[in-house]
Amino acid sequence: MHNQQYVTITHYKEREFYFLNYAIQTKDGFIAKDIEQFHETEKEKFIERIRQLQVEYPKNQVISLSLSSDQVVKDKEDPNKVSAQIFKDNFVTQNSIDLGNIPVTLYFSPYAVLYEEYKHKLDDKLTLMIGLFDRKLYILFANKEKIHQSWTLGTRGLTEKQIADRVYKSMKAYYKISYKFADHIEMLVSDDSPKLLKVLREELSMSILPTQKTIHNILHHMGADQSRFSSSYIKPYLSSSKTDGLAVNEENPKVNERASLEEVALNSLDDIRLNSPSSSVDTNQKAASFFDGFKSSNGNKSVSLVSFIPLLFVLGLGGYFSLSNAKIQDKMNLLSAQSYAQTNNALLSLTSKDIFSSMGKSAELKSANISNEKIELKGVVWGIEPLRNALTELYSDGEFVIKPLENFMTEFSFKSKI
Amino acid sequence: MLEKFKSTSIVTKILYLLAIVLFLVWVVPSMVNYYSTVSEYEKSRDEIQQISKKYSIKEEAVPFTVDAFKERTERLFSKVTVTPLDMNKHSVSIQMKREDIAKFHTFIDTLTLTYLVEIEGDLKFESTDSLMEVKMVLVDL
Repeated sequence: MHNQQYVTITHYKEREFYFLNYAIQTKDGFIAKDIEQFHETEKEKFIERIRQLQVEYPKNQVISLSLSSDQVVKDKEDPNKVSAQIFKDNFVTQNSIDLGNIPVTLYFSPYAVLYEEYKHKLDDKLTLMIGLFDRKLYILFANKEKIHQSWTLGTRGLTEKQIADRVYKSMKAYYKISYKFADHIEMLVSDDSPKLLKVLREELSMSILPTQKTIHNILHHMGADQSRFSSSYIKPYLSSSKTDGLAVNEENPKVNERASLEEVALNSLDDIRLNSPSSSVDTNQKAASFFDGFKSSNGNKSVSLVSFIPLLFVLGLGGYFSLSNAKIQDKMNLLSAQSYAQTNNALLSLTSKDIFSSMGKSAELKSANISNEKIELKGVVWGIEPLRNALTELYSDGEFVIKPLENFMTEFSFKSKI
Repeated sequence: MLEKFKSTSIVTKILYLLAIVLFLVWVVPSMVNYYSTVSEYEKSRDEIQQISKKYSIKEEAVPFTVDAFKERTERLFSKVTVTPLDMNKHSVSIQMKREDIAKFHTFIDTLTLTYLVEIEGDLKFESTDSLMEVKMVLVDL
């Protein structure tokens, strides 16, 4: 009898516990059995139990839910990441799958679950779909055509009011890039949280249609029909490289350029998003510094650099002209000093020439102090009047003094300001 | 375009605004100042070149060095002594024949066109029977 039954075995880990369940799939739905709980120290026992069920029910699918916070919905498949197709043109990707030897044949993203839950309700209007799994909010903005945006927000340690604020903040962030608010909100919660729903209704002032289902039931539903899960489970290999390791390195920076551009407008969400690449290191890091925001992802980096280009250009141009200005100013100062010195020297030379000319054959200069401010001359004169006339013609305010010497010669001195 | 700009983050907008403000208050004045100074510099340089041309000096003035100065000046006059002083100053004494006074005046006329120096203070002349000594202090520009 067991050999004929199709059974879905579901499990997931929340905090330090593994939760296991299985359900008999029938034409009228599934019949779930009791949920089993294993502490993480009982991992071997937990795996043994799954294997036991697999043996007992050969027609089975072992299904689990990825609660990884690095899941992102993109328009293209990322060759460097594991992914699942959830819309015609949308793929949910995450860096890698690490199941730790626990058997899994179908591994779903909460985004895939959300889509499956609400795809029949999607139309041309924008719907905000929120899934609350393991204290994380998985948020999708979608219509029937495609998923427009996705975010994963953490709620660990937050009050219901703070969670509602985060949902509202994500709506505002989405409005910034699309100028659209969601027409209505659908919410799928895996935990019973009436207070959260109440606060969300109050804060968002919108009608929220909550659906509460356990993760096991959601997964049993996902695994019930092959057409439902044929493409939407996360493939445990890289889409193009087919490398045997599941770990993935860097995100391809060229993937989904449009998505990268959108990232710019969403800097304000970076501190609370769990699926931004920057948060992969520390999902709880909220107090990102100003520049951390720019470094948060490859996409962000390229766009942020574009934002810096005008400023860098202006700084470069200003720096160049400031430097050039300083250099030319130095040269100009030197040239001005040279011009000034040349003028002074020419005046000094002219004064000296005039004085030596005025001596003529009437006198002989013995000493002289000549500057551009004053002159002081001393010498021997034998033609007093011609010398006096020549000097007073040049310097009318000068003081001309003669003094007879013992050797019948006459000494003169002359002082004047110029 | 405007819509795209509107959709950019506040940080990006601030960066653009900062770039515009810096361009207007820093770059534009720097550019204007630079080109104005260049024009002024070229005009002054042309004037100096014209004066140099008058004395058949083809090279630009060079910084003062004692050896080069002495070597060149001793070709013109009987004896040249240079004593370094503090503050980039040099005490210079030139001894010449009385009839070389015209040559000395030309030397003064071309001094700053040849070396980047200026004469500080007085020219002090002392003459004996046939010789004349001139002392001066030169300062580096």
